[in-house]
Amino acid sequence: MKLNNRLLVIGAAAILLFLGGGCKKRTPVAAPPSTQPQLVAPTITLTAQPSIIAEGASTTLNWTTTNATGVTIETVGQFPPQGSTVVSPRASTTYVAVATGTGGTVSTQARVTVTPAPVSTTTTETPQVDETDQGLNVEQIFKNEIQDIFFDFDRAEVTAEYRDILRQNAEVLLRRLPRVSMMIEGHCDERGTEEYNIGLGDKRANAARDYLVSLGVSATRIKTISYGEERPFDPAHNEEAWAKNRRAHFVLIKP
Amino acid sequence: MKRFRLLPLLALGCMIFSQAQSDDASIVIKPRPAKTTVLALPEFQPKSGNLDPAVDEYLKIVNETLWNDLEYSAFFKLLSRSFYPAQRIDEPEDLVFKDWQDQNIGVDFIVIGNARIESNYLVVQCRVFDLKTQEQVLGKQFRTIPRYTRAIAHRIADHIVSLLSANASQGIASTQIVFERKTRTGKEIYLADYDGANLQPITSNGSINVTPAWNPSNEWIAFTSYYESTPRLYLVSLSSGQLQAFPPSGGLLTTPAFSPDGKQLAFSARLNDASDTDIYIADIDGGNLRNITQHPGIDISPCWSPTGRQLAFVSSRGGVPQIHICDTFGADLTCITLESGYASSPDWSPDGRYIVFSWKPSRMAHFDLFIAEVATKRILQLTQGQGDNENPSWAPDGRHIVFQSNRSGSSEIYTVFADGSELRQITNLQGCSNPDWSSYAQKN
Repeated sequence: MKLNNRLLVIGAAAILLFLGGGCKKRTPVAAPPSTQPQLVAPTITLTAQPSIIAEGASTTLNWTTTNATGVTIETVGQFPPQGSTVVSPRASTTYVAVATGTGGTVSTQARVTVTPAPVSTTTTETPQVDETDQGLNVEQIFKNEIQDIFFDFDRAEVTAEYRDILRQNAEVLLRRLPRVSMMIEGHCDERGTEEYNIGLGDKRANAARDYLVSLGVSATRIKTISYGEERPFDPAHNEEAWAKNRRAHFVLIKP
Repeated sequence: MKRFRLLPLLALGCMIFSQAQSDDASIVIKPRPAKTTVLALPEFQPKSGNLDPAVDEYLKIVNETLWNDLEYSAFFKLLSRSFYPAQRIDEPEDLVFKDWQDQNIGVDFIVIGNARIESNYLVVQCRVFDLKTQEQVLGKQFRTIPRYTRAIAHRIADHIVSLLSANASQGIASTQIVFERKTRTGKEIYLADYDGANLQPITSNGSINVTPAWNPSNEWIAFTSYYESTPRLYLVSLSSGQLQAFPPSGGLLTTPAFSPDGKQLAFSARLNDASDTDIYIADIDGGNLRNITQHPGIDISPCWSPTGRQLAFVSSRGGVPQIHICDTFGADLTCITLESGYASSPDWSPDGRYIVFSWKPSRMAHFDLFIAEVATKRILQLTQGQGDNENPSWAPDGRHIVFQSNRSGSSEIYTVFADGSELRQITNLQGCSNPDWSSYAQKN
């Protein structure tokens, strides 16, 4: 195994050395001494048309030679002395073409500049897909999608967390349930006094209504009612129950 | 005839709750003779010659009820029956004055009586003697159907209170209390005697019926009902059972309170698209509706001063619910509570000097009853360390208070003398709240 590896490394190094030598750009070889047979060095020209392309686009490499028997374009392939080929570089690339003839080799290069795709500044197009509910009635959609919101103790402000919920509710009410009316019930926990809680539940229901209306839900679709502390969702006497009971609860008004 | 003389007014034993004026902290509930007036109350007896044994049952009720009424009036000390002579005393000739003149016993008055059944009517006779002058100071005969046996005892108690307090105080034994009772489906309005007896429903519609309030003549009760879904106000006649919807509607109407002349209602309402409740006043037919608190924040639970010129109510305009006072045009607004914690459920005393309310200092604390002296804003504490105590309402004598407490585990109705003594639990119905004490009973 070790021996094989060593041989492999030596072999690879020799190939690289050879290739490296072979690829090295050279100036045209000078005319040999007159004692040698007269051999004429090849010439080559290489152009990219266009030389500047957008990311993902293509360009054509054209070359012409004299006194050449073949052309090698690095990373692209071997070609006849005259010709063209289409390339699609992903990034800016300098193409090196080597013309080989009996008089020696000569190389030249052409630069292709790739510009990045422009960053989109227009809104992306959302696929317009018509979606209708199948096998679900309005009541089920309402029950599944319209979420209650919850309040802090003795407060009727809709907090940021529940403004998000109301935005989701509004989305459903505007798109999927555009014709339903609803009752928003305001509820309180038992720790306040009964009468004040009637006022507080009322204010909570109205806060929820006002926010939905600000999002475009018609006020005519919404009624409010305060149940104060009379209809707790959890009758227990602890923090967990109280938190559940401070809510605005959405109820579908059946037509 | 010698009348009992009022003793100097006693200070309440209330705990000082706040404020720097602790050197002058006494709230005086008057009239309050010390319990140095000693009454002897031997059991009323079947009148000699009565042949109907059913009278024993009625007498038991009269004797128990009268004892409780007189004790609860907080005017008297009742001499324990173990000191009484063994023989029956129910007629003037049974009374041996020298038996009662032992200085160690120190009895001032004796109340004697008897009962008989006459043509299916219960007839009760009662006499009160001043033991020092040996004069009869009260003599009454009552006749009614046996169903009203308790009413006779209450009537006797009220006569004695009026007589021995030199007419300074009417008795409250014939008054009644309305309150809410929790049911399987909601709440119904119930009525009971001031001692919790004679429980009877006022509403039975299966909905939520809350915030009952008497009118000053005890003929009507106003309340909030969800019967038509949207909570609104109704007035029910106790004599005819007639139910009237109070005309303003829409939004929310609740917490009605009759003006002292009975002609107007103050209440809390959110009408139309207002964002929260305000205090309104209207005639009891709904006319002359006006909003007196056009202010953001919850305004609720109004009560009238006895002059009818001011209102106290709960407002959250300062951030937390507190007791505010204003005139009937909404002017001269002041906050009488501490502007901290949670203050609610005000009720103005019949003499105008005090407002009783419930307050809790923090979210996790319990509600206790407090009394604010309106002129000085001094505040004193009435209950302490016994669960939540809420929704107080003054008795018409200005000496007693009814309220709800969950101290026993369930919410029940309690009455108490305004210094915290003479506490009575008058319901045991697993869920009673928001009591309102009637005016003095109408004499018929």
